[in-house]
Amino acid sequence: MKNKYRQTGKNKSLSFKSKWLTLCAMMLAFGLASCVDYSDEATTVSAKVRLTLPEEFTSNSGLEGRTVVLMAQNGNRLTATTDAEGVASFSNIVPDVYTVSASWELTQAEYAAATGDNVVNEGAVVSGNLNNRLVKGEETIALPTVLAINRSLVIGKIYYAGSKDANKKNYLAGQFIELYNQSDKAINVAGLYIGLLESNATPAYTLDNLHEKFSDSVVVCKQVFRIPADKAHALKPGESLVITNSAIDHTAKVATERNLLTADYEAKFPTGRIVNNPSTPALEQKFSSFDKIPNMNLLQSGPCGVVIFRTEKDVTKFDKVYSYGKTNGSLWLAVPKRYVIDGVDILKYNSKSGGADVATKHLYNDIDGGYATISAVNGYNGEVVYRKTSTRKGKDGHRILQDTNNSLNDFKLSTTINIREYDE
Amino acid sequence: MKKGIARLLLLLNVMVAATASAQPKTGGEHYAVRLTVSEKGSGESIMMASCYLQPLGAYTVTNIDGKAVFANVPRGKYTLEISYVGFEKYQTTVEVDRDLDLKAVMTPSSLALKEVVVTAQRKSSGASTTSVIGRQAIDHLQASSLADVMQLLPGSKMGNQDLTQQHNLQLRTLVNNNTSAFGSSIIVDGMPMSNNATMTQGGFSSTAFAGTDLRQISADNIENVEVIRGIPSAEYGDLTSGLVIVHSKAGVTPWQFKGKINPALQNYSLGKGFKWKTGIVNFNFDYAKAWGDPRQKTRSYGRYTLNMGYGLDFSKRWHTDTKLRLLYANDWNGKDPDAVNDGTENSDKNYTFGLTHNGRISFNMPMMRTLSYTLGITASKLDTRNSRIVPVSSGLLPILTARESGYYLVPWATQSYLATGITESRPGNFFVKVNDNFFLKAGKTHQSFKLGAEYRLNWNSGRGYYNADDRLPYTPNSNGRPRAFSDVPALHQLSAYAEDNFSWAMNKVNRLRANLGLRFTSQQPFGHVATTALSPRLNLQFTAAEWLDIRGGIGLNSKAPGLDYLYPDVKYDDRVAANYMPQNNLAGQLLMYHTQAVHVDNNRVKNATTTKIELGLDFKLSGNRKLSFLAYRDKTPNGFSALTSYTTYESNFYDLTHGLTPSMGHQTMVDLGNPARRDVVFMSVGGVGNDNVTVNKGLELDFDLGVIKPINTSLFFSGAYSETQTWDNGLNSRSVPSAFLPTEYASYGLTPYKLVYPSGLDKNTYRRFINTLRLVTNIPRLRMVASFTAQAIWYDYQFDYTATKNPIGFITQDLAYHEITADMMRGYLDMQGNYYATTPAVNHIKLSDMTIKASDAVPVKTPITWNLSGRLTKELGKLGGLSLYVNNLIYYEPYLKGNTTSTLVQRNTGSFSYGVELYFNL
Repeated sequence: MKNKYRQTGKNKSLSFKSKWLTLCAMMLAFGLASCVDYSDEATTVSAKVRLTLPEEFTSNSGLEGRTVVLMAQNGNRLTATTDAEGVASFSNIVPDVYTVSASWELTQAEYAAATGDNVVNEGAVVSGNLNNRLVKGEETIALPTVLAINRSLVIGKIYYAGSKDANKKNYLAGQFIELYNQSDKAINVAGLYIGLLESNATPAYTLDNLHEKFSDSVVVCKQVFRIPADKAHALKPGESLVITNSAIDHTAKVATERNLLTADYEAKFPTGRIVNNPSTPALEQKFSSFDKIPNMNLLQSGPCGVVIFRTEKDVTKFDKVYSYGKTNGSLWLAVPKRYVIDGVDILKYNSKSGGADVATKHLYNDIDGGYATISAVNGYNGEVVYRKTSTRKGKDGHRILQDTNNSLNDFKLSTTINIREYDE
Repeated sequence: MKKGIARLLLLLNVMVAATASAQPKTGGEHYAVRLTVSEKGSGESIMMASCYLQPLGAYTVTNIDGKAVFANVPRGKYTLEISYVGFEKYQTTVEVDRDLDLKAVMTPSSLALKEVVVTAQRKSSGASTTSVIGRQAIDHLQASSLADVMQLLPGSKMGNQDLTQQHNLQLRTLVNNNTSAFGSSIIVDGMPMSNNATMTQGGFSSTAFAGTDLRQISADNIENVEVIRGIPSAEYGDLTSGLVIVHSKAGVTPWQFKGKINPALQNYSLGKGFKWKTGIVNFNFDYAKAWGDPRQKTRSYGRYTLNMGYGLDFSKRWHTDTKLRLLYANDWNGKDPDAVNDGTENSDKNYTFGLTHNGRISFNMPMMRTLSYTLGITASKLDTRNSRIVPVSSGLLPILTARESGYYLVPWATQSYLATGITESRPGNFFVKVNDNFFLKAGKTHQSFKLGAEYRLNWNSGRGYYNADDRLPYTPNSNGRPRAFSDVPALHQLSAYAEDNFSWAMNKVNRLRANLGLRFTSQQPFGHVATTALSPRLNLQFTAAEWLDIRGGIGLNSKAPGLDYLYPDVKYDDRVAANYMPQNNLAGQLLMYHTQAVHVDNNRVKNATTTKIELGLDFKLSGNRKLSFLAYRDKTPNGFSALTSYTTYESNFYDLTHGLTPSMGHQTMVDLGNPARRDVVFMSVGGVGNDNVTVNKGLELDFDLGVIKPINTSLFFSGAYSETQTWDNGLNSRSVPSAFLPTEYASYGLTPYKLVYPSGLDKNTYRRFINTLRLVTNIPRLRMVASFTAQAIWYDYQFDYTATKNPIGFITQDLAYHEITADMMRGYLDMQGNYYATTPAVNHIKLSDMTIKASDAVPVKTPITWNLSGRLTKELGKLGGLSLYVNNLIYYEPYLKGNTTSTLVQRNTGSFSYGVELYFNL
């Protein structure tokens, strides 16, 4: 229809000299234009999102006044507050694909009241997340939520991107991972495991594959390291733990890098082309999918998901699995999900969408409902992925980091932030 | 080898005896055929026109008066062919029953003539599959180098040839094959362009460029090109498949200036042929500059060629042709001029000098009608200079320069640096060939014999590979050590051959032609790396009816290994022996490496031999239509490949607990006798072997549909179904996958043993079915030819197949081989290689885990694509002319799905181009 309209307009200009024809053409144009059906044009709709409480909740209270966020792919953010029934209403929104999320924090007392569970903890977070949901309007979207007990030890920073040196050449030796104790007690990190998630461009296991093959019971790692268990290492409240491949002062080599001389542990590569600091204790490698890479293989472009977990079991005896549907190639370590303390799903940036492809997610919603990513496809842009600071404070006033179980909300990027710092 | 020589001598004896006994029967019936060749119109005599009398193979050239004589021609009926640059080929049948005086009037080539050939023609005289591409076809195509010309062959994909990329000859193969490229032979004016003296630094690479770079041969100086895809004459050797014979222009021609311009290329040439004293001088200067992609100025190719030829008759019987060829070519890629210049660039300069002298002496003796010889020398100066910024992404880069085995304290780089690597290659070739040609006639049979010998000498006196600054190596790893090419001995190759071209006219219709040949080659005779080859061949052609020729052939061709294969580079393996980098004691920092240098003795590499089988049918249909079918199979069971063989060595590792004694502010002391680890390392020796197997087979169709007279249009339809299959028959082995090993192996890149699997099961298969239709419209009155080519690729298939394989053995650190039987597959091996039927308590691997499972790859099929191109050539009287072309005429670059991808992929990309050529006759 629109084409016809346009063509008629062209006719008009061709027969400009003849008034009669012009008039005819205009009439025809008007006639056709009035036939145009505009009903397929985008009109705004209203949508409702109904929250359902985590199954652990014994009472149905606490649904009122929660903020539900609709995030469009272009970054537009819409919010609405729930009524007593837990329904948030959005009006005048453009039908589109949105990520629907909600989360709120519970204090230890609120948690105990809602669940009847008196286990000592740091409070909890209730969160729900629906990735890339098409909202057409005139419907009520159910947003189930899950409960996550506030973690005392969280992954605070991941620097995997690497940077460029003065000659614009890649520099990766300054990569590090930082853990943070936000609880009110010191934590003994000895024996803690750090797992790097499998990072194939096409995931070895998508969430659907994990569901089908393992009933959501494992996370698939390419490398697993352990903090030495032979002697206790107490991490005080508000303290960070930095692990790296090369605990040296990298600023001497690349000005924008960091001084990692104070790093707590180093994944050593004695036969590698990397400087190891003999004064930094070694991280133990417990599993690697690759030959000849005894240190952390942090993929500068992502995916670069990280989990921390604890277990008394021998991790080297965990199942080793090929990629989904494959019978050869790399072998991955299947780590039972129940041991996981915290996880951050880091995906490869997609310059077209300005985010990452959630179809490549590796981590379950109850470990990380979203994902984090840097803003470059190939990495080397010096960006550190780090946790935002929560409004809450610890008993002694120490910082508590934001942990809504959704890295899209919890993490931000910085090229200048230093280790053990969370303010910029 | 002695056996081979004896066989050759025996064959020569038989041939000579046959000749001797045949001779008397024909005595007394010999006549002289005198020719006078002149130009149509002006009547001027033509000097140095080539005259052939077929099927005798008799050859002569005209003198300054345009006269030539065939002496001692036996009675019979022959075809006389006369050719001369810029003229239509003159062809007539002569009945020799007395002394003859013939006058031949030759017509200058022009688009005003009815017969214009702008496609590749199948050569009719010769049982082997040969295509001839003439000057008009090259002009119409607007070729800028020999690489362009090859797309006229049946089954070849048409498209744009990017002059900034190297091109080698790949005939009848669907995948770039190292052996077939190295084993192709390009002969320019009698002298093979040898690649035997090509040398590289580092190990053998099956993907590295091999063979002759076709870009070196500018198209404007070519008179015609013969491409022998079938079994070539025994006269030509040191090849596996694919022979291209280039004849450059020789004869009087006007000044001609040519310019070709398209967005990717400019090519200009100036040439002339003129009489000088008693001979003819030809010269051609050619300049080409190409960018590949006109949008980017990051790479270019420049080429200057000067060809000089001097044809001279020393006497009535002795005709000579001397050619001088000078070439300068520069391949460059680097930063865009608008970008920040950080000093990174690659340039490849080629200076080549070539001098060839061809002579032909007519003895007119029974056993020596014509003795021809070729003497040639080429010397090249190939300078490659690569600069890049070497990244130090992990923060520590050892500078490894050791050339002998041992422990070395090495310096290291912590920051990226600009480095330059230089390769100076000075390959030289000397070639001499003597060929005796004689013929005889007995009853209804003719025989034309060729007997000859050849000597080739190839050497390389270059400084080889080195770094501009040894402290900043260009390739700072085990493959980056300097290598002097001049250390390598010269290569000697001796060959002898005999060939009989037999022709038997049984009656007026039936005729049998046979070409029987034998060639013997010995390389580095009596040397440590000697190879010999005996290559027989037979081509038969039988005219079964006036409308049907049946032909077939079988033949062996051999390519001797070149210098680079016989004398591979030293293989280096470097391992960290100590890496102690205290951050508070800079003086105590230490990096120690163990270097293992293995000098490869490569006496195991032999010739690569291709066996070709062909069978063809040629139909002559009414209305001057011709239809040909050809089935072929080329098998190379022993193509050149990297040889898998191992050696082991011991390498120690030292740390603070063992061997290293640091002290503050002082150098750390090393006690070599107190290592923390003693590792036994497997190392690949890195020789060259003959384990690559390639089979090419296919069916070709060539249909000349004749002329549609009302529109003066000729139609040519060709098609080819081809299949290439390639696999490796060498030792198939791998390390135990690290995931099954204790971390002390995995972390140090060690394997307790190498597992051996059956080889030859994993095959790569390629198939293609392609059709080409050419419409050629010739309007003589307008002096114009237009051609349209439509090409469809109906089927394009690729399958990389991996079979499921159980290990059949393992090689332990003492290099002993141990068999793994089928019933052992349920058991276990410990790290020392001891077998256990049940799970042992010590570290072990489960043998069933070691099975290599078939990959889940499925064949990749490309959807049907097609391509149209149009070309036009117009002559502007005698002044000159112009040609235009458009490839992918309608810009068909569709997005299509393949069978394995769910995404749309753009096809035919980069096939669109256009260009113009202008030429002026001054």
